[in-house]
Amino acid sequence: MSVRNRMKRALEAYAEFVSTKPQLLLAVILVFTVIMAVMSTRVHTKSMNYQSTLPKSVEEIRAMFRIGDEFGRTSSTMYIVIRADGGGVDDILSPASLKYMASLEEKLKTLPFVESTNSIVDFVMSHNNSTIPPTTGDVLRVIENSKKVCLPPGMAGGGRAGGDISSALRIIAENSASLASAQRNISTGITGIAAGISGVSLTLKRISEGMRNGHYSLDAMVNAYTQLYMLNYTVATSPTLSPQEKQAMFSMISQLERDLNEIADSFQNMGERLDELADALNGMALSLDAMSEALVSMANAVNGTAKGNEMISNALENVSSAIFVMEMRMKEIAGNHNEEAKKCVTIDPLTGFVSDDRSTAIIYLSLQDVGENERKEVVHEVKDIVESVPPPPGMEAELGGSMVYFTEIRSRIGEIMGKTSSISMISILIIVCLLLYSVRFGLISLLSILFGTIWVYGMFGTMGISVSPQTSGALSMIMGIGIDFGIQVVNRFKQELRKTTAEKAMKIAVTRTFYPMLITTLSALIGFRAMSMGTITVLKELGVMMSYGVAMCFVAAITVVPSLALIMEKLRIRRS
Amino acid sequence: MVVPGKGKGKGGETPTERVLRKVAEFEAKYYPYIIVVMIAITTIFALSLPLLKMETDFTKLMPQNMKSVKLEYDVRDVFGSTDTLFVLVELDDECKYTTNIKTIEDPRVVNYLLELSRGLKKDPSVRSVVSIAMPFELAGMVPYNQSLIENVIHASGLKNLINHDKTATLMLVRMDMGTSESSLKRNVERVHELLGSVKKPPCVKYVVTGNLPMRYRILQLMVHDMIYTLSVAAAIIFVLLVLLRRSVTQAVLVFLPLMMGVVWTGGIFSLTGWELTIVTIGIGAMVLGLGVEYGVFMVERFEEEIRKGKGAKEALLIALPSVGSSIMGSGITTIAGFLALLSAAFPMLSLLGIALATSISCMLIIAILFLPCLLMLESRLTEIFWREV
Repeated sequence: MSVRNRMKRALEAYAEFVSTKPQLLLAVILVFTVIMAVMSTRVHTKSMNYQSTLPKSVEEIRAMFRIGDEFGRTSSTMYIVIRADGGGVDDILSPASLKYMASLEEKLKTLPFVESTNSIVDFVMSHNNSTIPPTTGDVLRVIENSKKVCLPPGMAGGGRAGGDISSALRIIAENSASLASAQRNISTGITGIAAGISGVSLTLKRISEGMRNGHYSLDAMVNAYTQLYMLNYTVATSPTLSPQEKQAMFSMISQLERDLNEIADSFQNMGERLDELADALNGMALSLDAMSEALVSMANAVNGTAKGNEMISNALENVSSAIFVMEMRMKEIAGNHNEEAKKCVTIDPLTGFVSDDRSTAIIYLSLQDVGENERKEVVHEVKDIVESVPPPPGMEAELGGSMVYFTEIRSRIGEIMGKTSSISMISILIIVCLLLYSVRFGLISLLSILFGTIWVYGMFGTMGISVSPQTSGALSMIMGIGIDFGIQVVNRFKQELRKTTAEKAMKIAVTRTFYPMLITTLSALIGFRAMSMGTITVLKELGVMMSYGVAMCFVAAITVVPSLALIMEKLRIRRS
Repeated sequence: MVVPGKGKGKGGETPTERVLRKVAEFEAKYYPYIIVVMIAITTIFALSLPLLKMETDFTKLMPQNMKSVKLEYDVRDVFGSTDTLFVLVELDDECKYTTNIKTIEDPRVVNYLLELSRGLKKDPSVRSVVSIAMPFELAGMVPYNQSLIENVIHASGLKNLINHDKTATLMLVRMDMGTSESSLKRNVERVHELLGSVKKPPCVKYVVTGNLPMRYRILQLMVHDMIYTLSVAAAIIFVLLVLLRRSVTQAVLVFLPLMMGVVWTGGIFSLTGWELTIVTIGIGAMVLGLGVEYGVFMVERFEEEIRKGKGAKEALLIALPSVGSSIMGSGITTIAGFLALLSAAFPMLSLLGIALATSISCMLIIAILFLPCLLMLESRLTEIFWREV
C-alpha cells in the first residue's frame, strides 16, 4: 500500500472516530487543555532593550556583555530630572535646589547598584571646598570662576614635546631605544653578510679543489704512454708477425703516439691554467674569509653598542619619569605664583546638566549591570528615594531613562496582550458570524483559536519561552491566521448537513478539509521559519511563536472544532 | 469561503459572489489592459522602494502616552541624547604578532587612549570623554614608568575603568548623536573614523558599543534580515509550488502575484512614510507564506474547470466568484485579527498590525484582480502556441 493510500486510510479512520465518538475526543482534549492552561501560567515576560535584540555573536553585544561582566556597567540609562514648575524656587542653580540635588545624590550613592552620580552639584561642590555656596549669586560666581581650567605653563595640550626636561629626556630615551633597535638590526644584517661571504669563500675553495683534481687526471696520460710503449715492445719482439705486418703496426703506434702527444700537450696547457685559476680562487676565498671575520667582529661591536644604547634608554626613561614628577610639582608651584603664565581652557560646566533657561537640571546615574528580574526592584528603589526626599517648593523631580520605560512596558505586557487579543477575538467573531450567518457556528469556529492559543501558551510555559513587548502581538496574529481553519471545517460541515446526517457530514468535512488546511499550514510555517532564520533575535522569536501558534490552531481545528460542532448539532436535533 | 444559506439571492449566489462574477466578466473582457495597469502600479511601487524608512529608536516605538517616554523626549529636547558610548579597549589575545604589551596600563596603551580621547574631543558633538588617560591628558604626556601610571590611575579613582586582570579598559563617551536614523548612522561612522585615525599599539583592539552603536548595528542587520528572510521564503515556496503543481508555468502564475504583493506592501510603506521596525522587517517572508494559498486555490479551481473542457472565460466566471469569496472571507478575518494590534497604543505593535493588514489586503487585491487576468493571458498564449504548432 502506498504512503498516500495509508494516509488516506488513516485520515478516514480518524474522521470515523471523530464522527462516532466526539464526546470521548472532547474529554481527552479538555484534560489536555487543562494541563496546558496550568503550564501557560509559567510563561514569563521579559523586558526589551537593544542588547536583547541582537545575537551574542555580534561584536558590539560581545563587548557589552564583557562590560557588564567585568566593569559592572549597563547600556540602560537612568536619570532624575529636576524642574522648576512655576511657583516658589524658579532657578535650578539656587542653593535650595542644589542642596536638594546633593541630598538626593547622597542617598542614591548608598544604593549598592549605583556606581556613581553626575550632576552640576558635583562641579559646584568640587570648586567650592565641597560645600554649596550660600546664595545663587555665589553659585554663579563659583561656576564663572571655574569655567577657566588653567594648567601649568607648557602643560596645556603640549603633548610630548613640551620643552620640559622630562619630555626632552624621554625623547632622547626614545631615540636611544630606536638607535639600539636599529643597531641591533644592523648587527644582525652584518652577521648575515659575513655568513654569506663565508659561504661564497667555501664554494670557491671547493671549485678550486675541483680544478686541481682535474689537473691530477693528467697522470692517466702517463699510463697511456706506458701502455703504448709496452705495445711497441710487444710488436717488436713478436715472433708471429711478418716484417710487413710489424712495419704497419709500428706506423700505427707512431700515429697513436703523435696523437697522444698532442692530447698531452693540450692537457698540460689546461692544467697550468686550472692551477692558476685554482690558486686565484683560493686566494679570493681566503680574502673573503678574512672579510667575513672582520664583519662578524664589526657585528659584535655594533650589538654591544646597541646593548649600551638600550641601557642608556632605560636609564633615561627612569630619569624622565622621576623628572616628570618633579616637574609636575615645580610647575604647580610656579603656576600658583604666576597667573599670567598659565595656559587656560574654557569649559562650560552647565552644558548637558542645566538647561539654558536654568529651569531644568539632570542627575545621571551610572548603574551596575543587574539581572532581568532585578531591574524592576532597581527602578522601585530609586523611585522610593526620589519620593522620600522632598523637593524645595516650586520644584519637582521625575525619574526617567531607558531602564525606567523598558521596565514599565514589561509590566504592561499582560495588559497589552489581553486588550489586543480580546479585540481580535471579538472582531473575528463578528466577521465569522456574518460570514457563516450563524452565531452558533461562529462561536464553534472560534474554538480553533481559543484552544490553539491556550495550547501554544502551555507550550511556551513548558519550553521556557518568554514573551517580550515586541512579541506580545503574536497572539492576535495567531488568531487572525488560525481562524481560517475553524471556518473551513465548520463551513464544510454546514454544507454537508443539508445533504446527509450529522455524523456523515462531519466525516466528509474532516476528510475534505484536512489537506487544504495542511497545505495552508505548511506554507505559513515556511514563511515563519524563514523569519526565524534572520539575525535579529526578536524576529527569530516571533517566527518560532507564530509557527507553534498556527500549528496548534490547525490541530485544534481538526479535533476540538469537529467534536464540539457534532455534539452541538446532535443536541440541537434532540431538542427540536 | 463559499457562504451558503440565508444570504443567497438569485441563482443561489451570495452578494459577494455576484459582485465577483461581475468582476470576472470585466476581467475576461479587459484582461490585457488590467495586466498593463497592474504592472504600471507595481513599477511605481518598486521605484519607491529605496525610500523605505527604518526605525530603530525604541523610544519612538514605545507607548507615547507613557510618562517616562514623554520625559525622555523633554530631556532630549533640552540636553540632547542621554546615551553613553562605550569604547572597550582590550588586549587582543588572538594577535599573531609577538608583543611585550602585557597589561592595559602599559604606557603605549595609555598613550593610545590619550590620543583617542584627543581625537574624539575634536568632534563638536562630543560632550565628555572619561578614561584612564584623563590625568595624563591634563599633564599633556604619559610617563614611561608603568608603576607611576598605575599609581596615578589609582590615585585619581579611575581604577574601576580597568578590569580585574588588566586586559581591558573602558572609555565612556557622552555625545549628542541626534535622534534620526541618518544622524545616528553619520555620527557612529564618524566615531569609528575618529578612532580609526589614531595609530594603535600592536595587539590592542577596540570595540565601540552602547545603545547607539547597537542601534546602528540593528539598522544594518534589519536590511540584511529583510532581504535574507524574504529570499529564503521565496525560494522555498517557489520550489514547493513547482513540486506541488508539477509545472513551472503554474508555479510562476502563483508566485508572481505573491512577489507583486510584497512589492506593493513595500511601496505603500515608502509612499506613506510608515517605518519598518525590527518586528515588521520579517513580514515579507510571513505574507509570502500566508498569501500563497490564495493563488493556489485560484489556479487550482481555474485549471479544474479547464480540465472539464470549459473555455478560459467560462472557467474564470466559475472560479473567481467561488474561490474569490472564500479567500475574501479568509483574508478579512485575518486582517481583522491583525488590525486588533492597532488597539495596543504601542507603536511597535500598531505598525506591525498595519503592515500585516496592508500586505494581506495587497495579496487579496492582486489575487482577485491580477491573477485571473494572468490566467486568461496564459490560456490565450497556450491556445496561440498550440494553434501555431
